[in-house]
Amino acid sequence: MRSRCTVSAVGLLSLCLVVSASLETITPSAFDGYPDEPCTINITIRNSRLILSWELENKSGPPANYTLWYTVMSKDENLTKVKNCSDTTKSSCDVTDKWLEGMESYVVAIVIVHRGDLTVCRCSDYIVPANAPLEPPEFEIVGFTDHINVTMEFPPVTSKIIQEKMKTTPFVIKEQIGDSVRKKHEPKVNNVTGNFTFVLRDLLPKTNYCVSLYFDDDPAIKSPLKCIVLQPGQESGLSESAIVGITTSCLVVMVFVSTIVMLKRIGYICLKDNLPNVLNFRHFLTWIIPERSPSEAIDRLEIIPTNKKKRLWNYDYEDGSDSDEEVPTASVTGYTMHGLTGKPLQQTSDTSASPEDPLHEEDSGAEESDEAGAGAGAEPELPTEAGAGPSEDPTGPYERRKSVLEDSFPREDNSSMDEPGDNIIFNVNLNSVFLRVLHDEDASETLSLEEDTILLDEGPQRTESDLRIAGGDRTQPPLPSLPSQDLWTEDGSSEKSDTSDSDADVGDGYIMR
Amino acid sequence: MTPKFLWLVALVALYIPPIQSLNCVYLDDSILENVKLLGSTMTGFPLRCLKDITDFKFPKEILPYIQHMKREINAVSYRISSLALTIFNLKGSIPPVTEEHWERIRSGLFKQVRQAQECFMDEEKENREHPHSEDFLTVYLELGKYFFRIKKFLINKKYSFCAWKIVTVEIRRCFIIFSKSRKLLKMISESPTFKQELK
Repeated sequence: MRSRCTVSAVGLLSLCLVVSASLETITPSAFDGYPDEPCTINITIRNSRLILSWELENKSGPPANYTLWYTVMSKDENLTKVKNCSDTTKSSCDVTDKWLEGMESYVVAIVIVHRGDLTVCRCSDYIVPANAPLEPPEFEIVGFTDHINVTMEFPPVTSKIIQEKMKTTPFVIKEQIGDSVRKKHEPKVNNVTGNFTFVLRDLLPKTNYCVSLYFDDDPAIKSPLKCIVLQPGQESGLSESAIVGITTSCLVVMVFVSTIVMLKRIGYICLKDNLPNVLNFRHFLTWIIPERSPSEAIDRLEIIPTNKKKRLWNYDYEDGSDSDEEVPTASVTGYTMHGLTGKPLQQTSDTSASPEDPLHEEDSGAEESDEAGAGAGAEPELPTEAGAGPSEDPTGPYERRKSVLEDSFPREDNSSMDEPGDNIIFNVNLNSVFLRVLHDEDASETLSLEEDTILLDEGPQRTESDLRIAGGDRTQPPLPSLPSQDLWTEDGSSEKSDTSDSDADVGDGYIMR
Repeated sequence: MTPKFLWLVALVALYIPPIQSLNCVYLDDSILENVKLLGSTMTGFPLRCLKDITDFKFPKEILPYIQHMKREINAVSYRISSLALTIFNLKGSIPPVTEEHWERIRSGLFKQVRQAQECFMDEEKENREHPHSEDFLTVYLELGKYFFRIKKFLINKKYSFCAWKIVTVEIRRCFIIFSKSRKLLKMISESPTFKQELK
């Protein structure tokens, strides 16, 4: 009878336990029938988590399943079960999300069910989370020649208890040689989340350094020592070959730059243009070889000599309407300008007599240009030989020949020279000479040059001599503007200043200088 | 008095202030030692004592005051230490632990009180011209009420084993909270930027 009562009581108790195990809370009296089993319950902060762990004193006992219950001492005597730590084989439990009040005291009860004999025991203690020590994080060390990189990871902190704990607890990185502590570093890790690297500097090669981490708390949980011997050949990131390559390239660049600087200083390169104007060969070359128009290639000139007589041309351009064609006219006031005109090939025989003053040889013109130099608006020299001006023959301008040009420019094969022996020498200011370049298809065109003569007795005046090379139906570009001596102003684009024009400009049939 | 004797007196007098100020340094260590001692000597908590647990209503509202009471923190330390010692000195009680462990606890508490007192006396001399602030009086009174509730609980529970267990846990918790407040105050005073980081 009594045994039946005992059995029924035990069965009822077990039933109660089973029922209670499915509930969230339970009265402490439900565990009254279980014997106490000595155990040690601790709480630590590990990887930013509040971890409750326990250890039975009888470690050699059979394996067991654990269920964790707790209550806050100042609130309620009923115990609350931790779901994630119910009937678990692990002897630890993450209570970060359960225990939120750091300043409270928690009573913890662990129900231990041994698997072998299914005996149930209990273990209980009190815990103050605010007193939980901080465990140091896992870390790695990488050694170099004179420094060590210590890398660790700090997970994000979600618990207020842990946040306050980390703010008030210094973090220490201990650096030691052998057993003696060399230095202690206290980096700020309060708000650090994720990977964190600390560099131990000013280290000696071939020395065995050991590193340990811990939070300066009571009690302080120190990490195991990690040691490394710094090798002398270990470079930080760069290999020896890379360093040699970089050094060599730097030296080469320096030598190159110094060579350039030296050559520049001695004047071997990058010469400054300090030559006098007469030695300014840049302009000289421009005179000899006129610059080509970007839109027009330089072609060969056809030179048709007219006559060899040298005389001053006294142009009277008042009856400039003699020629219907565009004849270079000029109101000469004391100047004679030589005009060189060309004529179509079919007209060469008739006009041989009319252009009495031959073309000024380009050679002499070139000589004049040499003398004139690069200065624009240089006074032309008095012509040494005179030729018949265009006023004497209205059609002269079209029939003038250019023996001068013949010498300077290659003659077209199909160009005819009625009087190859006629030469007219002009003093031409090449700065103001217009030259027209014939294209191959225009080989039949003749060149006509016109030039105003300069009267000797009336004194020289600055003038521009224009060499007009007319061909066919081509319209001639305007001459540079002359105050009173424009030969023609076709399209009124003679705004160019004479003095400012020192460069040759090939217009439509003209090379203006 | 010989010159040698005078020299000796002068040397001792020269080192008295630093020695006295060391009491304040050692006070923090004393509090932590007593926390460990209370935890190690009275391990475990029987589930049967859960029926006697109560809320002693620790005055959490004084914590912000304590963190700013730089001049009077040692007076508060002395107040807490002396009140705790009075609890463990109550006569007519059956100690929950062996006599040896009980004496160790009382000895540790006595040492803490003595260091707190000397530190407090030094502070009183410095602040002689400055009366205690209203915040200090509030803290002083609230601490008195708190330990009175503890004492009353012990008397009501007739100094039972579970009552002593519960009181020991509570006083240990009080020491932990106060120790952290002192540490926080020290860090704020040493690092002006720490206060901003704490916020």
